[in-house]
Amino acid sequence: MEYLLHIVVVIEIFAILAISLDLVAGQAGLLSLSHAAFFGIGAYASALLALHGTAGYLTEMVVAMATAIAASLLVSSSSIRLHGEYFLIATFGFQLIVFSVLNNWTAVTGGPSGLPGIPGASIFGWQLRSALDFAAVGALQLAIVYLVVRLMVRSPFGRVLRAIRGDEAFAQSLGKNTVGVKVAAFSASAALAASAGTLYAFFSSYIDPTSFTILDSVLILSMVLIGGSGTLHGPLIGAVVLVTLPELLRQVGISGELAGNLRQLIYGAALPIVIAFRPKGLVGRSGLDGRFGAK
Amino acid sequence: MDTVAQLVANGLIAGSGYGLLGLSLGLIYATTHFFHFAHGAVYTVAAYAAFAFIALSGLDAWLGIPSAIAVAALFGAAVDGFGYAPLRRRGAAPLTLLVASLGIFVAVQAVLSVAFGPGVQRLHATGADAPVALFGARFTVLQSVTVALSAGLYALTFVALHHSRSGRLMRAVGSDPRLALIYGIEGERVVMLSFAAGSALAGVAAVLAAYDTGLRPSMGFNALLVAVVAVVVGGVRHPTGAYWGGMTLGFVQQIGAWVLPSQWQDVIVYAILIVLLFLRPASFRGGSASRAE
Repeated sequence: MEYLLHIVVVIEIFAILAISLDLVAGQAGLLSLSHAAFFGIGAYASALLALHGTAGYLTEMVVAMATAIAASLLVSSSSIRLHGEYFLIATFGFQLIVFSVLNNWTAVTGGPSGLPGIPGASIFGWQLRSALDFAAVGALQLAIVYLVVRLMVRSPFGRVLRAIRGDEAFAQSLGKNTVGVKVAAFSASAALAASAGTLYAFFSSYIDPTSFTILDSVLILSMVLIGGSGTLHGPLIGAVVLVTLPELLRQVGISGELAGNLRQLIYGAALPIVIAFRPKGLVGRSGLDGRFGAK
Repeated sequence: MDTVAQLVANGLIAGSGYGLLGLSLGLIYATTHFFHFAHGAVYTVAAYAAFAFIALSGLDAWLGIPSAIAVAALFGAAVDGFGYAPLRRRGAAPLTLLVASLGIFVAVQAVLSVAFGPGVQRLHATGADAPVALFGARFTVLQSVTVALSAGLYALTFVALHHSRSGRLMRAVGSDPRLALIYGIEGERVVMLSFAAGSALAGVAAVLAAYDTGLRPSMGFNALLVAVVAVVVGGVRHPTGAYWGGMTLGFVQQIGAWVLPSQWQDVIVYAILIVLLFLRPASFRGGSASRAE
C-alpha cells in the first residue's frame, strides 16, 4: 500500500510537470528542455527555506514559485524572441547550468550529497506525515494546476498563445503583445513546475541534483509529446504511462537501474517514431509539423 | 609571464578540443540546417567503441582508434539514413528533426549505460600523461597531440570543402538544395556524406577526450552543448567558422577559469550563449534557421 501510494505521489508530481510544460510546448509551440531545472529550483528553494526557517508548505511553495519565475525571466528575457530551435537550445543550456550550479555550489546546495533531513511540512496546522497525506495534497495540487492551466488555455490569453504557434507575425499585426504573452506563459509554466518541486522536496525529505538532470527534462517533454501536446489530458496520460512503466518492469523482476534505462530507451526511441507515424501523440489533435512548422 | 603562457596554452588546448567539436557539428549543420542533437550520441558511441576495442578486446591503439572513428562515421551515417531521411521525406521542419534527434540521443545513451555501466571508465596510453614544457607553459603529450590533430583536421576540412568534389557538393547542397537538385546533385547522398565526415571528426574529439578525462554514458551532453554553442558563435553558415567559434569558447572559458573556480566552466559556456543570443537575436530569428525545409 505504502509502495502504491509512493507511485501515486510520483505520478502526481510528473503530471503537474507535464501539464505545466504543455502550457508553453503544446499551446505556444515553445519546446523547452529546462522544465526539470525549474522543478529543481522549486525543490531546492523549498528545502532550503524549510531547513533554515520554519515556514509551512504553502509559504515554501510561494517562495519556490517566485524563485522559479525570477529564474525563468533569465531565460525568457534573452531567448523568448528567438526561433523555436534557438529557444530550445537556450533552455538546454540553462538546464545544464542549473544542474552544474546545484552540483557545485556546495555551500548552499550541499553539492552532490544534496540536502538531507528536510523537516516535515504542515498546511494550516495539518502535519503531513504518511504517504497518504502527500498523495492527498498532491491530488489537490494536481487538480488545481490542471484547472489553472485549463483556465489559461481557454481564456483570450490561451488564444493568443495558439495564434503565436500558428503565425506569430500575424498575431503581432493584430496588435497582440506576443512577446509579453510568451514571457508570461513561460513564467507561469516554470512556477507550476516549481510547485511540484515543493511537493517532491517534502515528500522525499531528501533531495540531490540527480533528480533534476537534462534527462528528466527530456522525460517530461516526452510525456507531453508522446501523450499528445496541446491537450492537457494527453500529457497527463503520458506522465502516468512513463512513471508506471519502470515500476511494472520492476514487478517482472528487472532491477531498478535496468528498468530506468529501459524506460529511457523506450521514450527515446518513441520520440522519432511518434513524430513520424503519430505526430498527434496518443490522444492529441494536431500534428507536430502543423504546430512547429517553420513557415 | 608564465601565467600568460600557461593561460594561452590552456586556451589553445581547450579551444582545439572545442573547435574540433564545433567543426564536426558545423559540417553537418551547414548541409542540413537543423541541430543534430544525436551528435552527442555519436560522440559517446565513438568513445565507448575505442574503450571496447582497446581496453576490453586488447586491440592495439593504432588499430583500435581508427576503428572507433570508423564506427562513429558509420553510426552517424546510419542515424541520418534510418532516422532523419524518412522524416525529411515527410517534409519535417528543423524543430521536428531536432526533437527526433533528441530521442535518438537519450535512447542510445540508455543502451550504452546498460552495456557498459553508468560509471566512469578509463582509457590509458603509455606516455600520454608525460609533461611537456614550452615557453614556460606546462601541458601533457596528449594535450599537444590534441592541438596538432585539431589544427590538422581543420586544415584538411577547409581544403576538402573548397577543393574537392565532395566538399563542393556539400557546400552546394547546404546553400541551396533545390538548385543543387536541378544541377543533378543527389542531395540525400551528399547529406549522408556530411554526416559521416562530421561524425568521424566527432569520433576523433571523443577518443581524445576519453584518453584525457575518461568516459561515461552522459559525456555527450556537455560535448553537445559545446558543439552547439561553437556553431552558434561561429556563424551557422560556414562549417569552418564553428571551429573558430569553439576556439573562442575555449579561450574565454580558460580566462574565466583563471578568475573563477574551475567548476564554473560550464556556466561560462552558457553565459556566452545567452549573451550572443541576446545581442544578435535577428540572426537566429527565421533567416538561416528556417531554410531547411
